[in-house]
Amino acid sequence: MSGYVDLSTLRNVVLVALVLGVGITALFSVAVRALVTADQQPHASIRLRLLAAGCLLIVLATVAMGLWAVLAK
Amino acid sequence: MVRILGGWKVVDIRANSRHALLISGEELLTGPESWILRPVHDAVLLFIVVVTALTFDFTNGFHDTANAMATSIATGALRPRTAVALSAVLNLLGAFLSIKVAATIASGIVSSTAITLPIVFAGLLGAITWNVITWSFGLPSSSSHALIGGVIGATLVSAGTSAVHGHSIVAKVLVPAVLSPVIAGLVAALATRLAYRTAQPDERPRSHRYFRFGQLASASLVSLAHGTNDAQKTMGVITLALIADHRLTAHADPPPWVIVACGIAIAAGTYFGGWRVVRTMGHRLTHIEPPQGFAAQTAAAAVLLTATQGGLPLSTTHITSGAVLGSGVGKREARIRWGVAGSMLVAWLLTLPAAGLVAAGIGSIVDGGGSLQVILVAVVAGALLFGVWLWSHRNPVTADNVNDFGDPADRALEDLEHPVLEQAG
Repeated sequence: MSGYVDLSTLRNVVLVALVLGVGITALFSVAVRALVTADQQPHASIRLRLLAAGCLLIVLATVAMGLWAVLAK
Repeated sequence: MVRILGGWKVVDIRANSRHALLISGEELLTGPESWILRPVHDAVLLFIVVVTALTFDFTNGFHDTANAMATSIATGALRPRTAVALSAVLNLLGAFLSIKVAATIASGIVSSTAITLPIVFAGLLGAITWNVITWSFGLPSSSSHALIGGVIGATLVSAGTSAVHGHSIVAKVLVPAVLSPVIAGLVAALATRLAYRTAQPDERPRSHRYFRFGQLASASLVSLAHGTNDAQKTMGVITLALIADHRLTAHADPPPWVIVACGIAIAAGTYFGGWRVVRTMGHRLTHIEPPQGFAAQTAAAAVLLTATQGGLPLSTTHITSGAVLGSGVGKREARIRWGVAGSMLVAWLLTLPAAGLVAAGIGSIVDGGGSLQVILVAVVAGALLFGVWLWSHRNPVTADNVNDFGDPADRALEDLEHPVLEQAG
């Protein structure tokens, strides 16, 4: 198959897609869990909402960088 | 003496010339000075090819709406009409973001010297036919593969096997077709497993609401990526037709009117909504919950954007289908309808040869012919495809009934009745 596809490119695509896809879902899931818990525990609400906001900001920054990298190519 | 050769009018001012004339694309390689070349324009034929290309772009839009929006519609994150409207706007926007891949659809697949307007027309008609047939059965299949299959089939009958680049077909079409669903499925399965492990099982309804918000963003990303990829393929075909008719020079960028027309055509097709394919992707393959939908769309967007950046030509349809299947595998106790997955696989395997066969048949009729032959074929094909559309309306699937599928006990109906945008409002 190496004659038909650049295996190093393929490996990079798989690795980056895994890190991005799984990473973004993981961060978003943590944010969701923090928000759900914050709804239940008002005393820890601010800390949990900050955690959720932090996770969502990282997700947004990652998506923006990914889009920029593709469109600027 | 005047002869028409390869889209050029060859004028020999010496009547008894015996010199050979070789033409490669737009370049006169050898020939006596007494021979001059003048391009032949066929405005009617070009107009038909452009209209056919925009029709293909429209079918591409409604056939591939499911790629981005099926899981959001299935989980109730968006109402069907809102989903396709959002997707249409993002596809339109995506069409304007980049023109880097516009001329790549036929490059490397077939010899550029073999491309003529009737061949482009035959290839497009083969692709449209396959898109409409697979849509009527609700099967998601790659519009790009249909187009490539059509161009290959038409070129084979016109110029023979030497004009088709076998190595490029394997590298650009067949290998990616195998890799796309596998990579996307793997990423989606892992992401889904992680999403369910992180979420609290006893708080699922509440967490599902947040995941639906997430789906708005991930579905939008897939729609945007789809617009940047698929609208450009039709731009490439129209540009190729303009080059074949000598209205543009080789390697020219698409003119602004081509970019605008293609963006509008794919957006209109997306808004029309391929509800049959949406139902298959959203309900028939597996029952999808919001965390699965979010994971599938995020995985699809990640693979699509990474592959585009890495220069790996993967199919959007194969990626999103693989991701939906992966999200079913990633969730414990999820039921996957492997029979439906098998039908999809058969459609994928048949796409290239079937579109190629139709295009070869049409190519054998129109190759070397004039505008009249092409018009007649276009009218007959249009009537047949309208017949398929009418036949499919015996069992209509619309925005109103796209979610009415399967065992009601399997579905969280209360979720579907309260879409995110409504809750937020």
